[in-house]
Amino acid sequence: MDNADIVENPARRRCGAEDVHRRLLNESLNYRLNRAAIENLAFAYATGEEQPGRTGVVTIPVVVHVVHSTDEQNVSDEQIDTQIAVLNEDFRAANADLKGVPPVWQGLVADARLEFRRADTDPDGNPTTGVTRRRTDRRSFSDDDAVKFTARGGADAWPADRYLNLWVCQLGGGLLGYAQFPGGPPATDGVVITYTGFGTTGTAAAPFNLGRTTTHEIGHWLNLFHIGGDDGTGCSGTDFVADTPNQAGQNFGTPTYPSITCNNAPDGDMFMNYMDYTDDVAMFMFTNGQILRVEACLAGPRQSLVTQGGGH
Amino acid sequence: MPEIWPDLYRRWYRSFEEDTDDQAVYRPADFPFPPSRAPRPGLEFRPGGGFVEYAAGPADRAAASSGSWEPGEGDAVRVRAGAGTRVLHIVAHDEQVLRIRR
Repeated sequence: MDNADIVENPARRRCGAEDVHRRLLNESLNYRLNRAAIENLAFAYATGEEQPGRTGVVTIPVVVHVVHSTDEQNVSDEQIDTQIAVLNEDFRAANADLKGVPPVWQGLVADARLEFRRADTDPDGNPTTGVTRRRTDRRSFSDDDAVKFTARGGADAWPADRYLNLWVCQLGGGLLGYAQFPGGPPATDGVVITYTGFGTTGTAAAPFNLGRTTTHEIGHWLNLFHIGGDDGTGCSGTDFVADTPNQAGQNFGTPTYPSITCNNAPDGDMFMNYMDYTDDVAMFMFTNGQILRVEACLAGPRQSLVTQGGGH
Repeated sequence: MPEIWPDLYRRWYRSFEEDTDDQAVYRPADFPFPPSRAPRPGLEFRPGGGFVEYAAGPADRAAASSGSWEPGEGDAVRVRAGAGTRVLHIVAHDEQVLRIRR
């Protein structure tokens, strides 16, 4: 920038940059504080210092934002409902493939007591199908959250304290989906799924056509980490869950039991856990320890979804 | 210094299936990669010297480290991101592919 620029337009340029800088700093600080509180609560649940007080099943209202640049990407309501149906099996431990859990881990299988349905009331109190649709000029979206903003070619989030926001679009780079952990900015809260990895019919394509990408991403949204511990292929990372065996990296495809890493013989990796990276057909369980973290999340950062729930 | 064309200025995703013994291959976002739960690592050159390196993150999105790039000798580009500085040798690039010496 030369002097002429500074004389011409100093305040706007400087203030703009300053605003962005301060917003990022504040968000980052808030996020760190939020995350510390969330993990402290999860730890209290894990140690038994705090006990889950919830007795019934919680139903979470979902808004699905379909952001499409082609007719094919504009997935149908029917396809959306196949995805909701998968969630209602997986988060109730009602999925038929649970029988594939090795006997040694059958006792760890957990019912999250969460159900999902399309929202029937929008943020203004009007009736809705729980689906928003928007044509976009963008051929694909990356993991930079642009799909979550109308001004960036996507669709704005509905209030995150009342709805689970679920965006369906074409993701670039071959990515199936991504999520945001609790404690982050409400405007970007939710999960994003590529249209070929969503639901079980229509555009869903094997081997990611059983709706498990969305189960996995909602796991993150409920504060679950990868069971491999997010330290590459090392053995020192952790998902902060005691009953998922320590394992090296993530598993892919359809592994054969047992798969031994990190001295975890004889049972090996729990690669059939939803928070591994295996194919849809190969992942089918949450554990009791994972659902304790989910309970802490529902008692903490996502409490409003339990007590008020959009659409009720 | 290497010839830097505007088509370099984008986010490049590692297409490790196409790597050769001496080249790491990168492709743009719209390349028909096989779908994956893991975000592909990548890098991004920006006009004016900005550089971003992408690694797998814990919520299935890439974790970005911002830094800078500057031209070096021959086909070399010196990049800084995260904790370190390293030199990339750009063998070829156009709109569809970026090849870096391994």
